[in-house]
Amino acid sequence: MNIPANGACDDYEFEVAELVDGTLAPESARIVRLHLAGCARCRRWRDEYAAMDARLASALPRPRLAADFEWRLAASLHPGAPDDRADTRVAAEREYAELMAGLRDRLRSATLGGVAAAVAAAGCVLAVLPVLVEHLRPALDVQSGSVVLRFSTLAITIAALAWSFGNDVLPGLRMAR
Amino acid sequence: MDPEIEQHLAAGRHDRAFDLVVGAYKDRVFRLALSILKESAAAEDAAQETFVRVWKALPRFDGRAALGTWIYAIARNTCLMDLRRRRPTVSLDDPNSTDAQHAAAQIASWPAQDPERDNLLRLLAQLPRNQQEAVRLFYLEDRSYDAVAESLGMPLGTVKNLLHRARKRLIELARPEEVKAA
Repeated sequence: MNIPANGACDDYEFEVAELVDGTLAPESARIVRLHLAGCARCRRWRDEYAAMDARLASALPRPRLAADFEWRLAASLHPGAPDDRADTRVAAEREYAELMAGLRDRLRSATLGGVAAAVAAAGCVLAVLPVLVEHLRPALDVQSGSVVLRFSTLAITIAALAWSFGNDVLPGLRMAR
Repeated sequence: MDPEIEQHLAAGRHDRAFDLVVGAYKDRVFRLALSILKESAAAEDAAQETFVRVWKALPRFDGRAALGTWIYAIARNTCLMDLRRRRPTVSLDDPNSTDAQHAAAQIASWPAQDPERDNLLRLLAQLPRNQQEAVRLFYLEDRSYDAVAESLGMPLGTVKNLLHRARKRLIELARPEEVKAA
């Protein structure tokens, strides 16, 4: 301990700073606090020092080292070494391409199948409908051509929708979007 | 020194030792470089260059100095060489050189932020270079005197005195500024 208990303010200046920093030994801290209790000048110095400490702590930028620092260091030390990150990226891109190709194939086959089924269903309906209409004509008070057209449209729509739901084409379309 | 690093070095496994060295010292080296160079990108480049030099010299490290002391010395030299390259007119051997012009230009190039903060950084730029570096490093190192002393290769008492004088001078410089502002 090198502080005189009854010393001048200049003797306390450094210790007051250490007291603010929290690095002063307990016995020295006790003497400095005693001095501060009776010295307005040293209290002002303590307050100014503490305020400057707080201003510096908040004002000075504290950037962090980039996350890829070690990777870039390794790349500069071993320029010919395989690039693990590049391998990972290539693998991810390949997986994505395979996924998209699979989706496209599934959608294409589902769409072609749907069209074929719809055409087949429509053909069947068209083949059966005239016979059906002939039988029902007496009961219907409408022209036969108009009835055939309405039945055909309705049948094709129902067949195509039924097939689409059955073969999961609509979820496939959602995924493709 | 980290016992694991010591074991790898003693066994001649320099690759493994180097990986551990980078992990253990990269942040401290970066902060030391930042306190000297003041710019994040330049500090990161200097940290890279420091570890390239450590990598080359590690097989010759004989353990007479502490590993940290040795690495920080390499880092300081790397930063000072970088400063010389960029600003050959600044005397780096003179601890009282202030390079305030460079700092003022740097502050002016920042986006407008906090006027009080800019003002304080202008005051800081008026201090001797060694005091500026100590102050920056002290706050980068969460107010650790020991960390500053180790990074700068100075005795603890010297660092405390340096920081005390720096902050006292900043308080004195700030007084007329505050009177003018009031």
